[in-house]
Amino acid sequence: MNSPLIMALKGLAVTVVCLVFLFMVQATEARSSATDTTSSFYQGKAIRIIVGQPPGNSFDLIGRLVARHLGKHIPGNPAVFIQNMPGGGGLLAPNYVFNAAKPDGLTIAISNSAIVMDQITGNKAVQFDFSRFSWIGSASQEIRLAFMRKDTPYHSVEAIRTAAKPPKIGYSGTGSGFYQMSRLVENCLGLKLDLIPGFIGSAPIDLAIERGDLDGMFGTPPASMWRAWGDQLKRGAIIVILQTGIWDTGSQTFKRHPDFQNVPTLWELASAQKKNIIKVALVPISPIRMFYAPPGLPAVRLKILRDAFWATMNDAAYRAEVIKVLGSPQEKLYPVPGEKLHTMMQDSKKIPPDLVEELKTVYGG
Amino acid sequence: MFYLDALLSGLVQVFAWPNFGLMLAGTAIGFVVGLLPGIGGMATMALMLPFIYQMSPVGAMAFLLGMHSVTATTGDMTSILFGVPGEGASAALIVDGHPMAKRGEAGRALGAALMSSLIGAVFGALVLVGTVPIVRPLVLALGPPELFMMVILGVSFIGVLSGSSVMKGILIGTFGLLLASIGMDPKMGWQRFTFGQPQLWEGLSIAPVAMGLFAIPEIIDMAVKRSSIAEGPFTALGGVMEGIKDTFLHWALVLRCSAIGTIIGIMPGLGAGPAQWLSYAHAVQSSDHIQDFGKGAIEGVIGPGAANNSKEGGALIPTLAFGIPGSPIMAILLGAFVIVGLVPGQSMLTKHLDVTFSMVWVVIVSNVMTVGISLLFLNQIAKITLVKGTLLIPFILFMVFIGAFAVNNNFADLVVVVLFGFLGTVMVHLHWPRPPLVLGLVLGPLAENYLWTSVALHHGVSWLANPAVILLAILTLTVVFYPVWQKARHQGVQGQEVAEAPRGKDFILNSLMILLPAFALYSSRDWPKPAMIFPWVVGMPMLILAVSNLIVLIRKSKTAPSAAALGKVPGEDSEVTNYRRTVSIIVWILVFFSAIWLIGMLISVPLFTFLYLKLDSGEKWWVALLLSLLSWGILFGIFDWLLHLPFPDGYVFGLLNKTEF
Repeated sequence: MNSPLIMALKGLAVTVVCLVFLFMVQATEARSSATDTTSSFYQGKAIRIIVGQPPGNSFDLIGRLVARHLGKHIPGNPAVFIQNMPGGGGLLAPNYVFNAAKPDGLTIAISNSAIVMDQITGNKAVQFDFSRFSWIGSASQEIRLAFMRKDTPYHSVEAIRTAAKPPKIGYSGTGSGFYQMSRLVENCLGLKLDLIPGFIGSAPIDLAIERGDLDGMFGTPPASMWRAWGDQLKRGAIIVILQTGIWDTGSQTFKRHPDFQNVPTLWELASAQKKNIIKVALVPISPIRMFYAPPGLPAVRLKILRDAFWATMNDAAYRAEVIKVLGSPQEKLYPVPGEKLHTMMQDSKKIPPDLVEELKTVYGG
Repeated sequence: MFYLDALLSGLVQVFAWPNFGLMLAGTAIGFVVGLLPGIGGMATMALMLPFIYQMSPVGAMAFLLGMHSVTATTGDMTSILFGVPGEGASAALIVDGHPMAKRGEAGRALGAALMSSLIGAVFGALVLVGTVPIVRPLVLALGPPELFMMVILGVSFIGVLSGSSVMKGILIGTFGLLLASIGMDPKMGWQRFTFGQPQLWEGLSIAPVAMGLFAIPEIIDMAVKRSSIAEGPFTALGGVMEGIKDTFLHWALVLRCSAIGTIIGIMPGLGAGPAQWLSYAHAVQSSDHIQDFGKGAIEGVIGPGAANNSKEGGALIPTLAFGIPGSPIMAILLGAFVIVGLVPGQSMLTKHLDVTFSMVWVVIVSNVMTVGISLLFLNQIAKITLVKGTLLIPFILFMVFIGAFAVNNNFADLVVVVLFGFLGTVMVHLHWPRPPLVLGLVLGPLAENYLWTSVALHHGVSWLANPAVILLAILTLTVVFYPVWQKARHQGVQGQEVAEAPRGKDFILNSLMILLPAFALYSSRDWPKPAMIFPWVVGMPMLILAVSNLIVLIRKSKTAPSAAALGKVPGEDSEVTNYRRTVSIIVWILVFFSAIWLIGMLISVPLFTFLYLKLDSGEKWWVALLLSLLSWGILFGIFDWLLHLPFPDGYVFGLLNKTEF
């Protein structure tokens, strides 16, 4: 007897046995946590981290790294797992967390800080108020770079300004960092760039530079540049001409990143009257990899999560791994603790309306 | 000599312990991931990344690449057997692979898919080996203008894919192109036809559309005919060996489609959609029996089967040589490179050539193993097509919904499945061709992006004079006019399909095809020019085609004999029973969909399975109960507990939660 039905039934029997086993395991786990009444809320529970990006990109990788280490710094050692919720230019996840997720400390999310700028510039798809999220911390503050090929005449910002024709720079959509940094630099330094649309992500831009179709790149994060251009940078085949810099709260200026000590910042090169617009354009998005929970998270649990997040940031095992992903030679990542991130977000909410209007014109095109 | 040494050293490293064990583990995972719809290679690879921090470079590559390079192979199996793509890259296999399974030739289709996959994988890997010395100039040879022309060449395949009704096919193809304009425009980020839904910003995903168009009509068909997937007994020609023979009989097609896959793999940003659908289109276009496609032509299995595996070798090329990922999954792999301390670039072609070659070996060895193991029990697997259809329907529907959901972890894609399922069913019913729609949807964004890039890069259209562009233009014109010329030559020999009088529904569908572009043109009339051009360039021809087709329909309805007069009324089942069953299964599908929306996936899947099996199929209560328990077990065990898919709570529970406050 080898009829398909019998085979299917055999398969069924095996599956049922496996499932029963699975539930016995789960049940034992649940009971062991129930017996310990004094232990914390998180014992035997699982935290999910919602990633507002597709699997595999750097936000997803950082989310997964934090997921690997966060649990051991929370009393009760909960399991931590990842759910990807990409879409809407990264806005679906914060919309969901703000409106539908329970503020019980079991749901947190990681988003690109660009969502803050989306709200500031009045994107209609924003269904959240970033100032009300329960901010847990940021895994890093990163700079954006501009680099040019060595075999072009554009070896510095000044060279671009005086060149006979503007350099060709590609972008992958108006919401992308490439487009935004290009526009900001054009506006603040009075440069003219020949902006080329239509690239599907950053890989085709890299290839077009390699081909000589494009002269360089504006707005690349260092991690991506190390990956695609590390070799050429070492050989001197490309020149980094500009960086956004790291915001220093103490001196209220942008400082050069330790990995790029010889590269001027946008802040240094801009005239005094442009400094305000640079500040409101870059400071809100500087804590780029932001972790947050729904509004109204009980203070006790917010504190547990913030402390655990900060302990993770200082965990040697985590640091060794995250450096591999983000690739900073000086190992400077500038993570932001929750309280400070909360303050930064409250400040970002208070941008004067005239500057908001100016921002809209800069990014509007 | 250095070259051969590296080749050998790469092989030795792959078979060294623990690398070989890691590859086995990876291949085993990839095998299952490929089979199951709803778990994509992307998500799985991301899931596995944390495990590689402690592995050696070759070990990590053996694990990840071994896993990834077989997902498309086993994904083809699900497409053929159930008409549901196991992987996004396997969707094109449904079009002809599943009809073969229905004809009782599941084994043959599976054999052909596996063998062509294997050859494709080896082809892609060998191209990687062979091109190492010239890889950089090779990749750099193609710029946006050349790519634009390649996409236009692809668009011209739409006419070929249309079968006997060329006008309908091109109309549907332009509809696909118009659908492709949904989402943000590439130049200024204008939201086109998104109706305020952020879910639509990134446009329609191919997989849910293909599932709706192809899988849903199959489910309806199966429910109406009350048959198993295979509608008759296995035929003598239906065996696995037969399919393998077929693959070698069509060796030239296998090689050409492998080449298409490899080239598309090399170009970053193209992705899995174009590789499989263009090679499918090529298989149709190069065939001398076009009329059999869509009804189970073996070439329609072999072509995309080869291409969706050969693209991996191609995608590795820019990833290794430039550190520029050739596909989204290669971007993850690139992340893995960095984690294990490999720096992509020139050194991968010189100092670390052995590591590069070990990857080639992993692709080859893991595919050989997968195909070898599959062959052992393929004839058994094929028997699943003999299982009573009514037992399978709830499971296939479950696979469709979970597969569509998991593409973006988004409920909106279920709506897409239902809408396109409805459209697909009507199109099948009225004999309108479906593949042109998918091809249009796949190529639309590429055409628009490459056009903008080419125009902006060269400040105009001077690039039209590039030699390669002219060559591709000539090729495109050949593709368009060759069939016309052939038709003229063989006039009357092949015997045209007897013109059948259009039915009332033809007019309804045709009116829809007039209303949609009319609406698109009207609502985009005030958009800024960069956002408006593409919908207009596509919408105008669509409108004209739709109106002309309407005129043709009206003329036909006056002259052609009616269906009844041609004796096409079904014989066995009465028209009434069929109608009742069709309505019934459509209602079931809608009930399932609404249940997922209202009470969530975790409750509605077992509930629907039970209710359907008990009420519609009339199974014994214990069978229904056992199978619904099984469906729940799979859903909970794999998708919730293991993979943590973010299933939305039902709408009802959302309401209940709100009232608590």
